[in-house]
Amino acid sequence: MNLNILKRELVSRLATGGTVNQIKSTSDILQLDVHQFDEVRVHVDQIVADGTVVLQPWYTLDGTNWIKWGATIEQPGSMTMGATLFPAGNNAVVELLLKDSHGMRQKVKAVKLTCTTYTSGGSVAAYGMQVSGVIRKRA
Amino acid sequence: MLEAYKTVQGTGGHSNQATAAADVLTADVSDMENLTVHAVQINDAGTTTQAVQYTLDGTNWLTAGSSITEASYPAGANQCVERTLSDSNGMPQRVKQVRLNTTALSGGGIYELHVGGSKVMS
Repeated sequence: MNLNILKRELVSRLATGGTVNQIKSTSDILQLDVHQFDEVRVHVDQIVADGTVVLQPWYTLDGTNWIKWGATIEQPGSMTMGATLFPAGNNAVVELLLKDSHGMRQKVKAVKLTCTTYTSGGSVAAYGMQVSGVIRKRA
Repeated sequence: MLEAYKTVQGTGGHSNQATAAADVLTADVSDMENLTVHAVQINDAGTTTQAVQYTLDGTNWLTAGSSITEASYPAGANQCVERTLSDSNGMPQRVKQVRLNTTALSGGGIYELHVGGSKVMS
């Protein structure tokens, strides 16, 4: 009998890039390789709420060609049609689950977060991306 | 690791790209599940009509989702249109092959097929 006992290990990683792994300008990009992950869950973090922002999540199968992952993520009160809004305040999170419209989990090579609009006040608005997933191993 | 990520690029057409009508790009995905299929617009020009299709036996093909036109792609190079292979309840579908079947293409557009998913380990 072949006993393939599976060990499911939850892992969590911080996306890197941008300004010390945070988005603090429109040119900042946060990215993380998730090809080892299953059941990918992304938290886009509004670390410091101070100003306006438009963030866009993406994912790629090959590391070259990227597809937009859901709606833009913006500040509370944004009037952009269809945008996902952060809850008000610091350390507020928008969550994304990597699955198709039927609920099937998807596996991809990498995820990234880009910024097309950024303004900030005196507290310097900052945004991060935390990614968790499951790695399956033989025990 | 028991379950590995795998990606494959469709082959055929002109140097593994669709650059003309009747170009067909095909990828063997028989050892994969949780399939995400990307039709990729490498060069944004002209017009096209395409379909992502899959087969269980290598002979008979079924179209996944609606047909793809140039307007289906976001503007610019390296933009993707996505199809995933799951049933209406979210069950992953295993198939033998997927292909990007280009029935019309003019004006210089260039397209590729990329597929990602889990490699099924023995």
